[in-house]
Amino acid sequence: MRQTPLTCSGHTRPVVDLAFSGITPYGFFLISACKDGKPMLRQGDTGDWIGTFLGHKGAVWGATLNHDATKAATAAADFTAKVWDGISGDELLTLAHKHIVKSVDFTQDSNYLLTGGQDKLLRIYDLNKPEADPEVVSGHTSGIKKALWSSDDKQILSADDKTVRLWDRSTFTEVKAINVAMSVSSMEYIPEGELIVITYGRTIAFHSAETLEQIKSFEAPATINSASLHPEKECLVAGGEDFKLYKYDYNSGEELESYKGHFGPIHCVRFSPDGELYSSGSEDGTLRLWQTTVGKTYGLWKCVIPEEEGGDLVKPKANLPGTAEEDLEDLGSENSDTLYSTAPEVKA
Amino acid sequence: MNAVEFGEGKVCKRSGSIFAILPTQWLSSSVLKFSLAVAGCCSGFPWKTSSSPLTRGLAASQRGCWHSEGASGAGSPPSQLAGQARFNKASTMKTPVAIIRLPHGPDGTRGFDPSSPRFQDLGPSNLSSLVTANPAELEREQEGRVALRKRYLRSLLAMTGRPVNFTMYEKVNVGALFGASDIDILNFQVSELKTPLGVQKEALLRCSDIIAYSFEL
Repeated sequence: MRQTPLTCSGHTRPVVDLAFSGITPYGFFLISACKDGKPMLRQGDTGDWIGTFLGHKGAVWGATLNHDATKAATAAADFTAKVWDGISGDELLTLAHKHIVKSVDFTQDSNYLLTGGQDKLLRIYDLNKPEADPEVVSGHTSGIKKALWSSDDKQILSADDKTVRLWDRSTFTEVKAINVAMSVSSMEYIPEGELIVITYGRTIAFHSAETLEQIKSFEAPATINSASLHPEKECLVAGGEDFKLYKYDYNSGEELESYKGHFGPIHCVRFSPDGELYSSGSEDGTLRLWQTTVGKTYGLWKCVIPEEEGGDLVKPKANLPGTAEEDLEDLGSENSDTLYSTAPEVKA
Repeated sequence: MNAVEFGEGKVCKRSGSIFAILPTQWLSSSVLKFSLAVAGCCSGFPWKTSSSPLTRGLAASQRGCWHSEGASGAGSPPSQLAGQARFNKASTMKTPVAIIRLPHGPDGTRGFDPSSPRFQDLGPSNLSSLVTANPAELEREQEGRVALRKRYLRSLLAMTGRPVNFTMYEKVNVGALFGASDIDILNFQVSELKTPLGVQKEALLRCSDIIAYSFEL
C-alpha cells in the first residue's frame, strides 16, 4: 500500500521543532514550535488541534511537553522561555534570558526546566521556586542548539555548533566533550539504552549517552536536519533539505523507504511514544503524520479491503514484497498449492 | 497439442483467485484450440490502454488460458510477458491507505476546549462556589459533593456481579456482568460481555465510550 500522510495545517510559518508527550490516560500529545510565535498542542495519534499557546512575541524555536502533557515549555526569539498549563493553555511562567532561547527540557518529575540558547549558557530553573535565580552552567563557546536531561536527570547533554558536551547536574562540571565534524543540526536522547542520535551534514550518528563515543553512523543522500529512532530501535527516520523523509533499518543501515510530500526542507522528525507513527515539521508550515506500518488501522488511518471486479475472491491486504517477480518464474510449475497475496489488479 | 492433466482447484498465482480447472480430458480438443487461439491474440494485446468490457472479458478468458498454455510449454513466453506487463502495472499503482478524515485544524480561537474530558478531569476546579469564595457555601457544596460521590460509589459496589446493560456510542447496546471499576472511573471490568460477535468471557469497557448503563437491584 502507498503511505498516506496526514497533513496538519494551522501554522503560517516554518515548523522548527516538535515534541511528543508520554502516553497518558487521554492518549499522547504533540507540541509544535513555529516561527509564527504560536506553538500548538495537538492530539498525538490523530493530529487534531487542541489549542494554541498565545503569548510569545517572537519566533518559537523549541517546544517540549512534560511526560503527562500537563505542562508545556517553549523557547523563543523574544529572549524568553515560557511554561504553560497543558490543560488550559494558560501561561504559567515567563523566564527571561539574555538572548534567543533555543531549547527547553523538563525533568521526569516536571520540577526542573533546562534551557539553552544563543547566550551560550545552560540554565536550570526550579519550577516550584520560579522567582529564584536559575543555576547557570557555562562552558559552551558557541550558541547552544539543544539541551537535554539524561541519565535519569543526573546529567545534561548539550549540543552547540561544533561540540556535544556532557555535564554532571550536581557539580555543574563538564564530564565529557566531543567535537563534531560539521554543525550539529539535531540531537535526540533515548533513555532506554542511553543513546543519543545526532545529525550533522548528511550524517546520522548514534553515540553512547554516557561516554559520547560513536556507536554507528549512516550517510543520507542529502543534508539531514533531524532524525529519530523508533522506540523499539528497529528503524529510524530522518528528514532534511531535499524535502524527503528517509526510513532506515537501524541494524543494517539499509534505506527502507523514502517519502515525498513536504513542500519545503524538513526541520524536525519525531517518533511517537508508541512507535506507531512519526511526525515531521517543515519549512512549508505543515506537520505531517506518517505511519510506521503502512496500511495498519490506527488513528485516522483505516485498513480497507477492496472488492475485486468480476466476482473474484477478496484478497487479504498483506503486501508480501517480492511476490510480483517470483510469480513469473513459478508460472510453469503448477504443482504448488500456495495462495499468493498480491496487490489488487488494475484492470487493463 | 499436449494433453495435460490439471488438478482441481488450482490457484492462479497471478491474480490470486482460485479457479476450478477442469481436467483436460473433459474439454474437447476444439474448445482447447479456441482458447489457445484467444490466448495467442491476447498476448499481443495492448494491456495498458484497453479497458472496455470486451477486453475485460478477454482478460478473464486469458487467465483461464494461461494454465493450458503455460503447462503445454508452447507459446508461454508471450503470455508471460503480457502477464508481467499487467503485474508491473498492478505493483507500481499501489492503492493509498484510506483515511477516515483529515486532522481538525485550528478554529481561530485559542482552543483548550473546557468540555473535553481531559479538561474536565484535570482542569481547574469546577466548584461554582469558588467564584463567590464564601466559606460557608463552599462547605455546603463540598458536603453535597461528598454525599453524591458516596452514593455513586455504593451504587458501583451494588452492581458487582450483576447483569448490567450498557448503552454505548454507535448504537451499541451490550449486556455484561459487572466486575469492577478502576480508581478514576475510566474503565469498567466486565465478564460475559454479549457482543454481536459472541460472548466475550472477560473484557474492559472504556467509560468514555459508555453513554448510560442500567441494572436491576
